[in-house]
Formats: sequence, structure tokens, C-alpha cells
Amino acid sequence: MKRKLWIGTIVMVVVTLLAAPAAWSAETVNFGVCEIRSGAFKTNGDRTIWGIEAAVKEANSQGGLLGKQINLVIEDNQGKGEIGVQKTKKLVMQDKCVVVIQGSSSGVGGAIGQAMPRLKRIYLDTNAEAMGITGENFNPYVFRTCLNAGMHVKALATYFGTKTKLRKVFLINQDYSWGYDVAKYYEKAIKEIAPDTEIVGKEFHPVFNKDFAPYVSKIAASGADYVISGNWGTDLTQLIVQGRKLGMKLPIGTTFLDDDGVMSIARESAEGCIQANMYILGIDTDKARAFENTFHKYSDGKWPSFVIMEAYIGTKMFIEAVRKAGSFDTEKIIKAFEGMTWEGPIGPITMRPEDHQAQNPAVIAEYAAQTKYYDFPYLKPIMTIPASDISLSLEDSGWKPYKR
Amino acid sequence: MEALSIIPVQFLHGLVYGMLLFLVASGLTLIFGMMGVLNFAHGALYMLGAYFSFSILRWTGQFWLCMIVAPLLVGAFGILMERFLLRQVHRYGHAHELLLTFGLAYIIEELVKWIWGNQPLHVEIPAMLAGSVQFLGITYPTYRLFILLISAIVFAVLFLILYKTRAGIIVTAAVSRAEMVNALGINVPLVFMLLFGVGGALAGLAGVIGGPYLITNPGMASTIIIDLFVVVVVGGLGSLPGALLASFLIGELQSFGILLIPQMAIALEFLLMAVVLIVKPEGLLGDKA
Repeated sequence: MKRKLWIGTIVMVVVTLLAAPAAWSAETVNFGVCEIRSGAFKTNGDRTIWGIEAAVKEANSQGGLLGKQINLVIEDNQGKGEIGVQKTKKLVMQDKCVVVIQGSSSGVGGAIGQAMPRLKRIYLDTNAEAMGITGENFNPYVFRTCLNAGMHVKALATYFGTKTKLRKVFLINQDYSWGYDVAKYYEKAIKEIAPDTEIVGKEFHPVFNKDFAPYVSKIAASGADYVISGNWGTDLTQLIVQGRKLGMKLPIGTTFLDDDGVMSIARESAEGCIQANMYILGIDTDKARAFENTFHKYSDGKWPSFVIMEAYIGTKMFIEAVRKAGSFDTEKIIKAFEGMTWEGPIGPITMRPEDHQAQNPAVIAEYAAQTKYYDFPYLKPIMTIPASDISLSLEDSGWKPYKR
Repeated sequence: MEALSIIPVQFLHGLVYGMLLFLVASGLTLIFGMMGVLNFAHGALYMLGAYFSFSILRWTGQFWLCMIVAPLLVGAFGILMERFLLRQVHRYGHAHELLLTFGLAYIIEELVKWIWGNQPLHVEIPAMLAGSVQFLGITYPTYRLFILLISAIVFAVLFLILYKTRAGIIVTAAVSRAEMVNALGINVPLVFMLLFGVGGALAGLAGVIGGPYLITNPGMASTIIIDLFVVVVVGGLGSLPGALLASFLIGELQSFGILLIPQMAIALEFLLMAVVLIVKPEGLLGDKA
């Protein structure tokens, strides 16, 4: 008797679970999120999802999208391209998601992007910056709303080349495609902006390097007057903290210091660092404040640092494109998204129609001992750079037209 | 900085990293080197030491207390691990031990993330160690010199106990002639359990010291474990001076590798291992079995 009761309960639960999505589908639309939910990079995935969730919650509380409530279906890509593609297929074919969002990994993003022409659905890249995604591997189903590597470091080069007299740079980066992109595009940008700049050193160290001391003494011996690094996570923290302890006081230009995880360890050591990205907390305009506060409201009191704001902006832009299209049809959304201009927190962001690479303005920030956001030192904005100054031509982005 | 003066500095960097490696590997020398247990969870024990230290520091504010309590806790964890898990699979051989400790390493890592979160943690070191000293015309962080001091003390104490005391003789004998020692009325399983505890405690101590230097984060176990096995194998199984020598060589190879042939630096330690295994398979200072 007891056993029958058990089986009955299980059957009921299963039926309810299976029936639930079908019951909702009348008034909901699914957005797929294929993020990293396990392993060492889980924090990045978590943050990307916070950004997406806040944008969705905001839209839903204001009447939804084209009369439907947005429902997020989240899958774990485990940081692997092939699993990302598998999960993407599931999100498109089984869950009928109108979009698949992924930002944490360029590797996974590249793989998902390549799979989209067959699935005929949009991949929204909110954070992954590898050049290839909208460059040589471009296809019309991929849209990138964040900066790419080239634009990101061009913002740094603009600052160092026009606002400082520093002309001897040491490039230290992680030994994989991202690190090589940073070094290559920084060199290219700084030679355009300040041609008298000398590259006095260029090093690539293993990802998750432990001891940075041998690199720091090389930097010191090189005669550099500033350092550029695209490092993230512990590789960035270690470079800064160990470098400062070893007496290296040079300015360090970074791309991912706006990560509260990194700053909570780096603290005072980050003094003298210069950070560039498409957003930074604390921009003193009504529009930017409104953005932060709205996010704060829809995210249970979080602040949009690091990848969070990028995911938030990206998702909002996609929602806007759907509104503009007036339909969930992929081809119609693509048409509406191409060339769309959207008012971002620091200025308009335009989706370039040819390569689907958003043309974002950038913000330069420096160390701030105190901010209202965290109980440890963070960053404060010092300069905004218009999108046109950091834009790369299609040719310089390595763009190739898509061949069916 | 002068081009020439970079050489002693680079040597010092290599020495410090090598000695930290020795500190972590010393426990593995006992567990893997002497007892022959392929403990893949050793890195995880080291990580536990760092995280225990973080929590003790938060509650008490005493770094010195961390250096005593955290190793004791990790040592106790090691004892429990030996008594209730490893002892059960010991008779099935190395493969089972490897699988068990490999799984344990994952479980500990996930537990650490679950309890302390995914973020790296900030560990404040005492003011007297936080500064830096000037010598040879360079600025050198006091904490790095402190690592040298601690690893020297650990080496000296372990060396004296293992090779100069009765307890050490019992341990070495129990490892190589377990049945004979058992017949002499010594409780060999107990010796093994305690040895595992000491190995764990050493990993814990290394975690306390290594945390502030290499950042307490959930990835710290998996990034160091391979280096540890290289140290023990290159040094010679169970040889404490061998582990010291191997750690030193790996530290210097890395440091000068980065200076001279940066693209190859990461491979040098494995090249060293390959050469040692070909030329002297028992390890630099290992006994011919």
C-alpha cells in the first residue's frame, strides 16, 4: 500500500513538472542561458546570470515582452564548448528559447556561435570578447553587446597615449588566445595613437600562475614606465599584489580590475592601476545612477560590477530589439537588431549591422580608497571615451563575410 | 635596476617559491614517499589549511594561533581520512587509493566552495611580516623571507625526528618492514595513522603560510598538486633532503626559465622530471629499491 502511494506521488510530481512549461507557454516566452554553473569559473557564470535575471525581472514587472512574461531556462555548459553546443540545442529545440545567452567564456561562445546558423536562432554574447566571434567566424545569428578585445585595449591605449607622457610599455598577459589578442591589439593601437611608444617587454605566463616575482623583476629590469595586462581573476590579483610588495610602483593598465572579487584582495595595492571597460560603477550622471539603482532594485540589492552590468545591458538591448521587431521571429529580430541604437548608461550603443559588434563608449577608471558600493577600496571613473574613438574597422577586426 | 643585479634577485625569487613548494611537499614525502599512498588529496589538505587559517584569523585575529591550530585541525582530518577511508582500501592496492583520494580532492574542493564561497579570500598578515626590507639594493617583502625561515625550521625538525630519534627509526622501519616491526610489538597501523596525521598537519601549515602568498582560493589545490608529485618523484620517494633539493631546483628552473626562455619555462620542471627518471629512476636522493 505504502509503495503504491509512493509511486503515485512520484508520477504526480513528474506529470506536474512535465505539464508546467506547457501550461505557461501561452503567456510566457523562454530565454535560454547557457552559462558556466560549476567548477573554478562558476563565479563568472553566477554574475552573468545576475545581470540577465535583473533585466528580465525588470521587463516582466513592466508588463513583459510583447505581452508575454519572460521565463529563463538556465543550463550549465561546464566551461566546455561541446557541452555548450549540446545544451544550446536542447534550449532551442526542446525549450523553444528565442535566444541563447552566454558570456563567461570566449571558447564556449565561439562554439555556440558556430552552431547557430543550423539552429536558426540568435546567440547573444554579453561578455565574451574574443575577436573571432564577430570577426573571422562571423555569422548573422551572433550579436555581441560588449566590447571586443581590440576595442577594450584601444580604450586603454587612448588613455595612456593621450593623457599621460608614459611611452615605455611592458605587456604581460596570460598564455592563451585572449592574452595574445590583448598584446597584439594594444601594440597596434598604441602605435597609432602614440607612435613614439616603445614596447620594452612582452611576456605570456601560464593561466593560474602562482609566483609572479620572476616576471616582476623582468618588468623592473626592462625600464618600463607602465604595464598593460589583460589578466583576470587570481592572475590579476597576484600580478598587482605581488608586484607592489616587490616594490614595483608602475601604473598598470588593466581590462578586468572592475571585479569586486579581485579588488577585495588587491585593495590598496591597486593604487596606480588604470582600468578600462564599457562601464564602471559610480558615474556621476542621472542616467548612469538610474541604471545602477534600477539594477539594485531588481537584483535584491546587488551592485552591477564587472560582467554583471555587461550582461544586464546586453539582455536589455536584446529585449529592445524584440520590441522593435514586434515579433519573436528570429529573422525579424535580426533585422531590427542590426543598426539599432540604444541609450546606454554612458551614451548610445549602436549595433553595427555588418558584423553585429556593438559600438560602445568606454570608461577609464582609477583606484578609489572608498566608494559607497563595497567595504573595501574599489574604482572611480575618470574619463569617458566615445565609441568612435575605440571602434575598429571591419578589416582591423579580422571580419569575414558569412558564407552559407 | 642593473642588468647584472637581476641574477641574485631572480635566484632569491626561485628560492622562495621552491621553499614554499617544499613546505607543501614535505607532508606528501611522508605520505606518498614513505608510506606509498598516492594521496591526490594532499593539495586539498593544503587548501584546507589555508581556509581554516582564514576563519581562525577572522575569529581571533591571531595569525600565530592559526599556525598552530590550523595544522592540528588538518592533521586530525588526515587521521580520520586514514582511519576510516584509506585503511579500508589499502589492501586493494594503489589504484584504489588513487581513485579514493582523487575523489576526496574533488569533494573537499566543493565543500570549500560551499562553506567559504567561490571568491578568493583576503588574509591579513601580521604587521611585522607585512612590510618589506631593503638589501642588495632591492626591496624584498618580509613575508617571503618568513617563508624561507619556516621551511628551514620544518626541514630541520623533520630531519632530526626522522633520522636521529627512536620514533623516526620506528617509522622508517614500519614503512619498509611492516610485518617485522609488527611482530616486535609495535602497533604498525597506529604508526601509519599518526604519520598520515603529521603529513596532513604539514600540508595544513603550508596552507597557513601559502594562503597569503598565493591567495586563498578554491583553485589553489588543483594548481599545486602536480608540482608536488614532481617534487617527490624527482627528489626520490621518501627522501626528505631529496624533496628539499627537488623543490629548490624546480623553483630556480622556473625563475631563471622565465628570465631566459620564457616560452619554455613551464615545461622545464617536467623536462627535469623526465631526465631524472631516465638517468636516475629512483630520484635524485632516493634509495635504490
